[in-house]
Amino acid sequence: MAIEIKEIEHLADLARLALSEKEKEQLSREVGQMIEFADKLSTLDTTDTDPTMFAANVYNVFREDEAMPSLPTAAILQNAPSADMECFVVPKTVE
Amino acid sequence: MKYETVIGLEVHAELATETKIYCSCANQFGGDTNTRCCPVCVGLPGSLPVLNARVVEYAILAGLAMHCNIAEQCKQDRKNYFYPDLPKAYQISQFDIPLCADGYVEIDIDEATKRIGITRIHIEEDAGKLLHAEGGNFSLVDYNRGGVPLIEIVSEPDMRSPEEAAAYLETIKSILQAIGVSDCKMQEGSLRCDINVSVRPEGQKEFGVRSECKNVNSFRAAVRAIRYERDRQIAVLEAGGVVEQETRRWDDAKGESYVMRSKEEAHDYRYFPEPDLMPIHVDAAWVERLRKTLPELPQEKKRRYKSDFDLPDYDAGLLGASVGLATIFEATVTEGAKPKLVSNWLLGDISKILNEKGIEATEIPFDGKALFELLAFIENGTITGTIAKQVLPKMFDEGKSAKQIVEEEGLAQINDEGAIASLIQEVLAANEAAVQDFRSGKDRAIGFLTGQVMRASKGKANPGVIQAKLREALDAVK
Repeated sequence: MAIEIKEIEHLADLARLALSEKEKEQLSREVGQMIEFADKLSTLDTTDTDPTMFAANVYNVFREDEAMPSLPTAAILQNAPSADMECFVVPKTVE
Repeated sequence: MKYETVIGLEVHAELATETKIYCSCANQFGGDTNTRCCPVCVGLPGSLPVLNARVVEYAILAGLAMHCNIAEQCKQDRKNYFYPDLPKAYQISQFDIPLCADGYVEIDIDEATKRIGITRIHIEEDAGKLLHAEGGNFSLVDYNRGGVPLIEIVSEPDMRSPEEAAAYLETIKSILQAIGVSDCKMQEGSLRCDINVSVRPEGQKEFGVRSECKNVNSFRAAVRAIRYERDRQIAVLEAGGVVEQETRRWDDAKGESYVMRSKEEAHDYRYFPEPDLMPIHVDAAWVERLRKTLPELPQEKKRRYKSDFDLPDYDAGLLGASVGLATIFEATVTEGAKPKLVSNWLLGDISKILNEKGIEATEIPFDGKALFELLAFIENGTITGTIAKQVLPKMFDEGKSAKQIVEEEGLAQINDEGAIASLIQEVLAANEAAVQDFRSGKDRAIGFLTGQVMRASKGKANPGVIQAKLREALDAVK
């Protein structure tokens, strides 16, 4: 079950990926196979099974609301491709 | 044709926690850029979020105050989109299972109470802030706000006018302030809203096509944006057109909205469960423990102020809706002041000063004892009402008590009849024309002369004594 090239293009666009025609075809096949694989789950009868939100039976992992020191600004900006005026610099982005 | 406006609102409120939602950086406003950030805030690979317990509690409190059901189990999800204020390229939010759902709030409109449904309240993280340099071809990003905890409160499309929307927003704000989960400082952006508006011919059952309006940063802007959108859609329909489902951005300076091109692609956030965060389980005992800590809510306060203090509906509603005003009101009344008098000062001169300073009632720098002292000074004749209006701003600015200010500046009321009589003589001598007017039967001259005597005393003379002595003096020269 291949998924449509159009759908692949839409997903690639949302993920900011530039795909070649060959890659699109390959992905349409491979993503289709993944979906088919996952679809097997829907053939199971889960009438008597409680919904599960997470694979591990772990919940309520919380942190107390106590402040700790942040990193120095220089450290925060260390990996920025570009920084100025104690800020990250990005291409002009205005709505 | 007559149209009906249908409004739904999404309110984002920043929670007043000590720290951010997923890390231990301080949750504060202002300060230098990128000084409250850590690897979690800027989305460095390998960093892991850990949920702040207080965020869950605050959201549950908000849910309880708005009559919501609290989910026994819920989870957090990733909302994926690219924008430079979002370093991970996803926002952690809640998608299909919010923490709170199916509630309502009551708003007061046209002297009646109306119920507005709350669809859901969920927790999520705020994004960073983009700063735009004038004329530059780049933007700057400050991630201090990134990871600040938010609750998003989504209403049902139950409002039918801009006025109802404004009343709803005021109600939400007053509830959040009353339960102490958000300071709701509009000027700091801790309360923001998105507006959904549609119109339909009156009597039609189906909703019209709605548009969403973003970037609405004040209640006043919300009302304007709703009016604008209502009128725009009606004009489109009247011209035989069709309203498009679209996301628009409100420009408050221009008073108009425009389509956001970036949102034209149908919302496709590809939500999926956040694998780095465990589910949240809330048992009944936890909910009940939190319910017990809920303070008296604005609507309950309003009812009590009307019945216990005999305040008018208007006064009770305004005082009950404001934690700051309610606190100082009750403290001042407890000291022994007359409730209606306290209300008049709080809703009059004090509210005026708060507006001028752009501060909240919770930031009034004096307490009920101090306000009582001021009011008692007027009642017992120590100072005049005019002087009290001068003392009040000084109590705000100088942090001194009314007593200190009155003593230091010699503002005590002049009750000495002899002193006032000699002031009157000076005024009469300097205003012969007015005295003539009075003689020729113009009673209005009395008002003018009273004002002159008050002014000569710098507002300190006892008005009752002026009245009596002025009459005496004028009768003598008649």
